Amino acid sequence: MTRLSTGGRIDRARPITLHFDGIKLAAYQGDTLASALLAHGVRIVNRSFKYHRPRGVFSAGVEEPNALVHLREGARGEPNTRATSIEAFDGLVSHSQSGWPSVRRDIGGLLGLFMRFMPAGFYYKTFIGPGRGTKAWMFFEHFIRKAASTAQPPMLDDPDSYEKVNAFCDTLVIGAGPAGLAAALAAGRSGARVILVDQDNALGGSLLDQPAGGAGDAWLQSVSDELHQLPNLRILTRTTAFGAYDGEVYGLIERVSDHLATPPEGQPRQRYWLVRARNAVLATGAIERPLVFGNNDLPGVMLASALRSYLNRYGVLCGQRVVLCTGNDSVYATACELASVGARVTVLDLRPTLPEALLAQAKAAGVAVRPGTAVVTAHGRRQIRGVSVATFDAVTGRTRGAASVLSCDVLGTSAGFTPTLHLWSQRGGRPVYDPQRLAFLPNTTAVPLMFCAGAALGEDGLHAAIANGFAQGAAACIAQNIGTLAPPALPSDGWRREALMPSAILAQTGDAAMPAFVDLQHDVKRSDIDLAHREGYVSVEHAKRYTTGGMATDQGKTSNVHILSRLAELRGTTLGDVGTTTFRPPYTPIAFGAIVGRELGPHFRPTRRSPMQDWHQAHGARFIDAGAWSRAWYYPQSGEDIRAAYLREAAHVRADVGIVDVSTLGKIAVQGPDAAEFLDRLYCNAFASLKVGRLRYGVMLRDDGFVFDDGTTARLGETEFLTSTTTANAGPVLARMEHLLQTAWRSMRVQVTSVSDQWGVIAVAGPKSRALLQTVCTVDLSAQALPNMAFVETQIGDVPVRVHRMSYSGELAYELYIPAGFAQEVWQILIDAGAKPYGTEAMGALRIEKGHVAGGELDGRTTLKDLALERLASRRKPFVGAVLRLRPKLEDLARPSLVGLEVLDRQTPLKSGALLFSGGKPISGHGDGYVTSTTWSPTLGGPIGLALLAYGQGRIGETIRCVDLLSGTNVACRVVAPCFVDPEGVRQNG
Amino acid sequence: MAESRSALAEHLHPSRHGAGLHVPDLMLGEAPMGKLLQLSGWPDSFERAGATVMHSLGFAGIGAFGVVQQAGEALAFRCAPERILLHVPSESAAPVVNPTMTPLLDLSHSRTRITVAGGQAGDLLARVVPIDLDVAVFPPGYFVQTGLHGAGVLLHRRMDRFDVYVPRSYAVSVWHTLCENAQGFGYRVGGPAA
Repeated sequence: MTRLSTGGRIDRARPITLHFDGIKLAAYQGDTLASALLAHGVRIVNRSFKYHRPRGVFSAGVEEPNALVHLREGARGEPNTRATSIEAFDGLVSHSQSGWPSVRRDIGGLLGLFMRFMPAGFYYKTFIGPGRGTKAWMFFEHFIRKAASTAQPPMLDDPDSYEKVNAFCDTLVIGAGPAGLAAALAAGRSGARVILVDQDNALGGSLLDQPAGGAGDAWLQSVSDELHQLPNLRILTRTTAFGAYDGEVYGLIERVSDHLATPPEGQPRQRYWLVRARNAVLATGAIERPLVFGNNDLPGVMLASALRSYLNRYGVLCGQRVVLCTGNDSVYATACELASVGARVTVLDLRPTLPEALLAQAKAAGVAVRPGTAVVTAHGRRQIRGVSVATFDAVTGRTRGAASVLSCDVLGTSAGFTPTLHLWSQRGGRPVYDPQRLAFLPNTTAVPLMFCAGAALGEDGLHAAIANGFAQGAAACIAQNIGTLAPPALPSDGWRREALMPSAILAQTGDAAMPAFVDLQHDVKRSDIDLAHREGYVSVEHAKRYTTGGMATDQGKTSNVHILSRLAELRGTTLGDVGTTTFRPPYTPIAFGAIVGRELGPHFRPTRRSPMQDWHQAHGARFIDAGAWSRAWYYPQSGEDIRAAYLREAAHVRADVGIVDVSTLGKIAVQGPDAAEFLDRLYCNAFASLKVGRLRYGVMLRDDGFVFDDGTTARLGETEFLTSTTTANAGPVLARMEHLLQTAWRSMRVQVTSVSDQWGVIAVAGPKSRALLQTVCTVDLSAQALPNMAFVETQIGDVPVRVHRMSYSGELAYELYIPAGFAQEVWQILIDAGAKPYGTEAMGALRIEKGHVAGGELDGRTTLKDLALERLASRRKPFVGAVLRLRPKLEDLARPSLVGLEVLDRQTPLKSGALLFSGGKPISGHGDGYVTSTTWSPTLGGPIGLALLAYGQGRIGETIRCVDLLSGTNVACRVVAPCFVDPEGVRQNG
Repeated sequence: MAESRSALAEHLHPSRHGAGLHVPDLMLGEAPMGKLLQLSGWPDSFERAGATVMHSLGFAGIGAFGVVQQAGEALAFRCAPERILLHVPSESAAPVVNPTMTPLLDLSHSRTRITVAGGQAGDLLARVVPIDLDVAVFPPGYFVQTGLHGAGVLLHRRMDRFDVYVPRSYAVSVWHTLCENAQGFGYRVGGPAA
């Protein structure tokens, strides 16, 4: 292989150096890693997945099945990159990713000797089936995976950043080859907002594979200039449209910095575009199909179009003695161009007779043509040295007669072209087989807002592709009633109509002793397809999964049609009857980082912060996530761990006064003349009777009678209430309210609005809470003036505050509702007045001591009766869940109900989720119930818990076992009433 | 009267980030919230009853969804069929309403107003909201309610900038998300905008 001294589209003024397996590769700006490797004669780039056979560069595009390499080093290392798509840059480092001790001399290649004993299904049959029910597979899997020629991902954090962008357009044109350019021009001239994307780093598509400096370049330059002038058209190169989704949503990946050693400062490595288009033009071209024959995987066997691409785009002659085997006209231009730079070229054409003009053209260029012949087998060990050639019978699809040997150092094959319809198929389109063109083509009406154009539509010539592309671009605009345009002038010289008339999809040539691969990336041979068929995998979907043909990173871009074709032959039917497999995103592999974008680390999800968060942070609070909220968990003093801190905080509340930030509670304003009736229907207890200025605890049920949520509601006026919810259910409760108002109770005049963020809320708890509050506000807070479950408006400092008298801890307590912007100021006033902060851990301990239910008990599986709250349920009004809560099953006394637990040894902590068993009974099954909440009680000086226990209320005083099967603990407990502290409520009502 | 503390008080400091030697064409900041009131009503009467209240504030009527009404310094966002967000200067008196016909709700402390200005404001916002910000589609004087980093926000396009009304508890998270996404452009952080 040789780098030619002239030609190509590389920038010879900008030489660069790359590295592959430690070898220095001199290259030029504009090269790909593959072209640099070929220019240096590097034949073996990788080892095959299963048999470790040597593999070289096969194509010049994203369809590459063989040349997968590990790119870069360290944290930027990236496995499984296609050398054919990697833009070269100075200093690029790459490695082969398989083979030991080296990719050239791989000891794993010995597996190839046993190839015939390792067909499709070998691992299932040998290692899984016989050992079923044992751990045999777990043992073998390790070694099998080790033996597979697979890449290793880097285990370091990715140092680069990625970002996502939303974009909108009238028409998205995918592919900037001749058809795509024409479509973009038509749509762009009309004034439509157009986005034109192409996976390549330059516009032109297949035009870039033509000799540089020809008429194609002039046309390309002209069109490109005009497109760049259009203000309504955005051009995205190095951008792959990888997914098409419902609603004309497309996923694109722009490789912003992949062609650079490192991204510029502040710039992402890749950008994920989420495009919402009115319609799209799919001008994605077609991918050449190889021929299948013996040893068709040898390095040096390539797609014919790739030879042309390397020659005309990169100035690389892939071989001096070139054999091209084809059944269509497309390779003749390649043959002539290769011959023109000194290669000795022979074309083996499966067709027995050829057009005279074609023969004359070849003869004039010095190309030898052998009609009616085909390759039987490729020869060579580490690379191709020659081919066996025999007569091809187009009727039987087989070679016959004696084979002769033709020496060569590269073989290009072409069995026609497969339209690239992945995105169209992702939208549900099922391509239809066209026996004339021997290709699956789109049914143009199947995906209404996606217009296929050019080679993707099966157009087989350049002029036709341009004309069709322009027509489809215009059609996209017409669909939007934007207008029509005249087509562009077509290039007038130097262009050839390349009729693609393949005479065979799959040339049935080959020596049975030599493996003929239909899928190069997964080492799937034609014989594997035959085996799958013999074993009953006749459906293409089944055969695909059994053989793994068409899977892996290339997703069968060069193999799918071969698999289908062979299945059709075996089933005695047509390709159309066999059908295709389903295409799913992504079209080509994409980095997870691009999907993640900037949503990682602290930006992984939003964090909600209380209005007092800055104070908590400044004062050393430790935080805990509660849903989206970050809540102050505890405030450690020097040397304290969480246990010491929360016990101190809780004890202080019992003895003095503490304050806790409860701003996270859901808060919903309920307004309107029917607000009271609305709450009456929603909650199990009555609210119409609640007087203005009073509070009431309420519980709401689901339709099925189970408890949904609880909270306290304040009646602010005759037509206005403020309802609180648990932190976790703030959203669901509001959504339920809205749902009922918009569906079942549409006539109710009620507005519900979240005011969770409007109010900061501070709970002030402890026997000295009244005294403390009385020092900072002027309103009378005496028990007579402000009894439990009442509220009053006042001021603290000059901040308006509503004081709710209510208790969650069981102590004399208040909740202060403060406009959020003033909440931190009021918090500081309370601290200055002598209150001590406590966090959610202490708050939880206090509520467990008091026996209040919370998340552990309100888990969606409990009823009012289970929680000893049935007294709340009104019998004089209907409410959601009123009927179904009384189902006999839910009334069953055997249902676990709320109890308290005291650990007998007063030492061993309880575990939430531990199962409860009667003393003396064997520990088996699910027990009689489970522990829902636990804490170390600062008041009782020992571990306590709340639990749901079968026949719970009737078992007070009984000793039971709490068994945590995970940790292996087994704790004796006494069943007690759930309220451990002040059951008469003297403290909170005092 | 105490001064309302911004949710961004500890996070917004005038500064400059990235863009090398160039002056960033992207400014992030916060504008004072003033008074934010929700006027609501019922399907059968809101058009008339709501209009009466709106007229008393100098607005032409209840307005249309997506279009910002302006009366002096006051703005009105018709954010739902029977809901209008009134953004008025803090010194303005609240309108007198009949709570059974057009309930009023004070939401002044529930939102933080983040401003995004400069030639790259739209490019930045395109990274965080799934909204078509083309000026022909979303011109100045329009607003939209959308999601930004998991928070429900109201996005108002003014002549010279975008205002993002963010639920207060999400404000810091949204702010840092904007800053993170602005890294690629380079940006300035300004003080409170008018």
